[in-house]
Order: sequence, then structure tokens, then C-alpha cells
Amino acid sequence: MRYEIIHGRDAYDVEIKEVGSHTYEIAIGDAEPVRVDAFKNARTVYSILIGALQFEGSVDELEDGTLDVHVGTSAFDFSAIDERKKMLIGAGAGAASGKQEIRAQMPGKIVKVLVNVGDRVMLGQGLVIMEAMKMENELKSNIDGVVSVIEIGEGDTIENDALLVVVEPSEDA
Amino acid sequence: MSANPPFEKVLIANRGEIAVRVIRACRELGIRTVAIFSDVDRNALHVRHADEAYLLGPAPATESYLNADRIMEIAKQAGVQAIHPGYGFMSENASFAQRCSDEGLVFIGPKPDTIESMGDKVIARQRMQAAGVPLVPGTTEKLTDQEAMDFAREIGLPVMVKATAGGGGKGMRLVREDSELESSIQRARSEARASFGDDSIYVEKFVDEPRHIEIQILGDSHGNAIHLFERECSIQRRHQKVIEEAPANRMPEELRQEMGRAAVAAAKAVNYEGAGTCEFLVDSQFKFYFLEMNTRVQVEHAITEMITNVDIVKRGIRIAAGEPIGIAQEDVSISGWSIEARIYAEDPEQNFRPSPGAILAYRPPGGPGVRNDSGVYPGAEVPVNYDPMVSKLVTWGRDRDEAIGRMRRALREFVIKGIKTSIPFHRVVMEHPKFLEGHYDTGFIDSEILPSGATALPPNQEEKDIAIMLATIAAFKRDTDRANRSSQSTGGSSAGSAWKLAGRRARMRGR
Repeated sequence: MRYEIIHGRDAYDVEIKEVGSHTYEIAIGDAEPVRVDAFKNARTVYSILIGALQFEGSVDELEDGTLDVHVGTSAFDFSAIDERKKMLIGAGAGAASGKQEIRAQMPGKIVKVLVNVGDRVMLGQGLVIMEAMKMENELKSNIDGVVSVIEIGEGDTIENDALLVVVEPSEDA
Repeated sequence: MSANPPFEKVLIANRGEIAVRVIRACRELGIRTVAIFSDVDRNALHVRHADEAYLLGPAPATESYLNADRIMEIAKQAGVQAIHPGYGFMSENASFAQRCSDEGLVFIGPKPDTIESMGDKVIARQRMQAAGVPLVPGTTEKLTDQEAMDFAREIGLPVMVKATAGGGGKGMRLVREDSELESSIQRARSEARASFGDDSIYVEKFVDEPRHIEIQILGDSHGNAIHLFERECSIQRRHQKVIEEAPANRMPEELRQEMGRAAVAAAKAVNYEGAGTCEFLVDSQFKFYFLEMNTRVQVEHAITEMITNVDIVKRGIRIAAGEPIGIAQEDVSISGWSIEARIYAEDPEQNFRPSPGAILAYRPPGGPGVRNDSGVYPGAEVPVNYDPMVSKLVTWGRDRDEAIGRMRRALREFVIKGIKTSIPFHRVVMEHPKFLEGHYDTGFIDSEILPSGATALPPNQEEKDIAIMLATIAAFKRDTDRANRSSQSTGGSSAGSAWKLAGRRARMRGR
């Protein structure tokens, strides 16, 4: 089976073949396939053997399908697209840039709302200060845009995943 | 070790790693231990280590670990002689300490009036000034907004605006610009009101290139007080300590002796009993100023234990039972170097957002010179309700290089899955040239780490290739599992070997 593994702007074509109960032959790009023994059980992370070289690593699939991969002291966010999906998406798929919904990542309390509806905000600008687990955290905009919706007010207690603020991309961006 | 335990039974009015730490000390002393737990802590580690455990009530701290009525009720029901408050929660609550003594129980810590006077920053400054302990220029009384602004302008910016009832960075604001002065005072007040129910504030001079260096003290009811040398706690984020070292870097022996003497004078001035800490700021000219006294065992006490071989928690319990410290000043010396990294359930890549949840895989580091004081284990939960610290990773070495080498090695061994942790962040610090030089101040994280955005070590190419393979394996397993599931549900021939099924079940369990 072939996958495209995407890391930021880089994409890697990877071919994988299962050859044993936790053993695979994997080729990245044009490189020769290597035999990879990747073992784990429910209570452990992966132990990876390539020949005698040993690595430890883990993979967590996030809600949006991103694979959060740790190996040794390195960490990567990948997306993995198989051949069929790649054809469905087509070549035009770009980075996410549309309307941005800021949601609560955990239950907490709104300490301060830093913007008003209609405000123009910049990438990285603070929108809301929220308190959870006794710590105040500033939730920031991931795009340049305009605040179109504010669902909460200062002092509100909010549930996990509650919609807080919506930022629409600016037309001139 | 003890033929004659100082108490028969002690209630530990805390949770997490410090409750476990105190239980361990009690067990070594032959004392029976009573744990208390809230609804969300039924599965917590401190409960499992205790001889007895009692449900406090609902998760919010005010209804559980801060609920004095309920704690006293349990103490009586369990028939304990003493209550150990750990740190946080009831530990610096003078009225709780008073209540313990009124109701015939020993509060393991200093006397209520010591806690009260050191807990009020204004009174603490007055007492320390009288004892000849050097202070940062600042006010000693509670100020109105206008008085605070006038005084700040008089001593000159930058200044710190602080809550008189404050601690742990709450209700504290640094003001560098005159235009921010008024809003910062109001912000500090509102934080103070929210956190402590008291919005009194005061103002003090902001010390240049400050290092946070604190002295561990022990005092007893016989009038003895000693110090156990210093800890450097300058690696802080938002005034919360992240990494501590003992002894301190850049510490002339003369200054060490002088600070030790000041801390002992401070302890004697308030008839200090038990384990406590005098916090000082040391500036670029090696002048030191009293910051505050923490009238409890400190999170970072373990690094002092490592370099002095004194068990601070056990000493504190014995002192509470009326025994003398039992160690003379000249009998303590510094052996080697120790470093602590606080492992928090938070995501350094997402602006240190708390990351509560279930611990799925957990493998603590071990080997020479490694101590891991933890409050979790595989299957435990980190609840949203309390401080997100899950573990204190401490290493010891004959010298600083060895302690750092062991810390790097231990951070590499440490596996915690299910939640995000600050482990990658600690790895960055352990490679940073300024940290390695031992030349840093409390601005280290803000000026050296955060601007670069490097909250994890840069990935290396070999590990990247392995990670790509691992991502492919995970995607492949996910897709073949899905294919097997759909072929089974449509009544197709059952694909999927036993191992695939096992793998799928394992992953379902892991969710």
C-alpha cells in the first residue's frame, strides 16, 4: 500500500508491505525498502527494530486525523493520505485557511474577552483569556481576519468544546 | 527505623505527589497514614499508598481539600493525632492550624501566629526588617490606588505590584511603563480578590537581573534553627518555578554563609517550627533581598534532601511531635549537585495549555542518581480541578555536569502517554548554553526560550525517517482495521488475523 506522509510543506511517498505480525517492509521515496519490526501492546509505546538499531516511539491520532508522532527526543505532526484519498482530494487541496472557530479545549471560565465583533485581528492576536486548571490562558487567532461571532461573555463558565469566537478570513488577506 | 514513632496515626490533608511523599515519610517512621480524597481522586496514587482513606466530597477544592469542617470531621473519625498539610491547600492557613490545636490535634508545621505573620506580606516585611534581614525597597503597608501610583513613581519604574495575601505568582504584576501603572494595579487587585478574597496590594522595586535563591530552614520548639543551604529557582514561567537546582550557581561561599545566617535569623525571629523556606532575590551585584517566607514544606525540598542527606519531611514530623531538630548547623554540608524538573500536564507547543486526562502508558526513569516523586501511575487520571503537576524528576550528581547528564538521560527514558507533558521543554533547557553555563536569571524562559519558539528540541534526520515509517505503520494499521471492520459488518468473509483483532481491541482500550 502507498501513502503520502505530509509534514509541513514536505511530502514523502511511502510504500508499506506487511510481512509479519508486527513486521513491515517500508520504502520512503526512491530508497530501498527496509524491514521494520514495530512492536507495542496496549500499555506500551512502540519499540522499533531496524536490523539491530532500536528506537522508541509513539503515535497518537488526533481528532482531526493528524498523527502526532514521537521518536526518541523528536516530535512530528504528520498527515497520512492513502492513494485513493489522494485522488479524491485532487491536487488543489491547500492549507486550511477558511473560517476559524475558536472552541474551548477544556471546561473553564472566561476571564476576559479581548475583542469585539467586527474587530480586525492579526495572526497570533489574543482573542479570549480563559481560566482552566487554575491557569489563565490566552486563546489566539490562527489567521488574519475579522471577528464575526462572540458567543461568550466575561465570567461565563463554559463546557469543553464550547464555541467561543469565530474569525472570518479578511477579504483583502 | 523507628522503635518509637512520633505519632501513631497522621492524616495527610493533600493529594498528588506531596501526599505520597508525606505518606512515605510516615511509613518509614512507623506511623499509620490516613488519606483524604475528592470524588475525582478515588483512583489517585495517594489513596493507594495510604492505610486508610476517606471521601471528602465533590471535586472543587473548596468542597474537598479546602473544606476544613470535613477534614476535621475525618480526622476525628479516623482518630489521628496530627495533620500534615503538605504544600498548597491548608498548608499556609493560620486559622486551620489554630483550629487543629484548639481541637487537640497537632498541625505539622509552624505555629498559627508564625503562619499568619509570614502569610501577610506587609507584616512579614516589618518582622524581617526588625530582624535585620535585607529587604527590597518597597512599601510596608496596604495602599490605595493613588498611593500605589505615587510610591511607584517615587522609587522609580520598573516596580512589582503584589497582593498582600499573594503567593505562587497570583495577584502579581510587573510594571515597566508609566502608562500601564493604573491598569496593572487594578488587575493585581482583581486577581487578588478572586484568588484570596482580599484585594490589598503593595508596591516594591523590581530587582535587576534577579535570581531567585532560597534557603531551606528547620526550626524546633526548643528554640533551635538551622539552614540546609540554598536552592536556585530562577527558571520560572509566569512566576511559577519550573526547574530548580541545589546548590545555586554563581554563589560565593561568603554570600552563602551570609544568606544562611539571615534565614536562620528570620526563622528565629518568628519562632519557626518545622520545615520552611526563606526566599530571596539576588541581583547582578550579588546583593540579596528577602522576598517571602514559605511556612511549609516546599515543592522543591527534594533537591536539598539529595545534597544534604537530610530527610526534610521526616524531620518536620518529628519536630511537630516536640523533638529537637537533632542536627547541628556544623553537621550539615553540601554533597554534589541536584536538579529538579517539574513535569506538568501541559502542552509546551500550545502555549503551555493544561493537558488533563488519563495516563495511558507510563514508564518512569530510574538508575543511578535519579529520583522521581510522582503522583501518577498507568491508569491514573490527571483531573482538571487541581494543579497540573504530575511528577518531580530529580537527579543528583557528584557535580553539576553529572546532574545535568543524568537529567538529560532521565528525561529521555521518561514515557508518559495520554496527556501532553512539559518533558520536551525540559530537554530544551538542558541543552541551552546559558543554562549549561549556570548563568541565568528569572527572565530566562521569557527572554531565552519563548522568543525562539523552541519548546522542543529540533528533530534530527534519523529520527524523522523513523517517524515517517511509524506514521505509515499507524496509518496502515488504522486503514486495515477499518477495512476488516466493514467487511465483517457487511457479512463478508472474516478477514483479520488474531493479532489484528488484538491490536484493534488494544487500541480501543487505549482510547
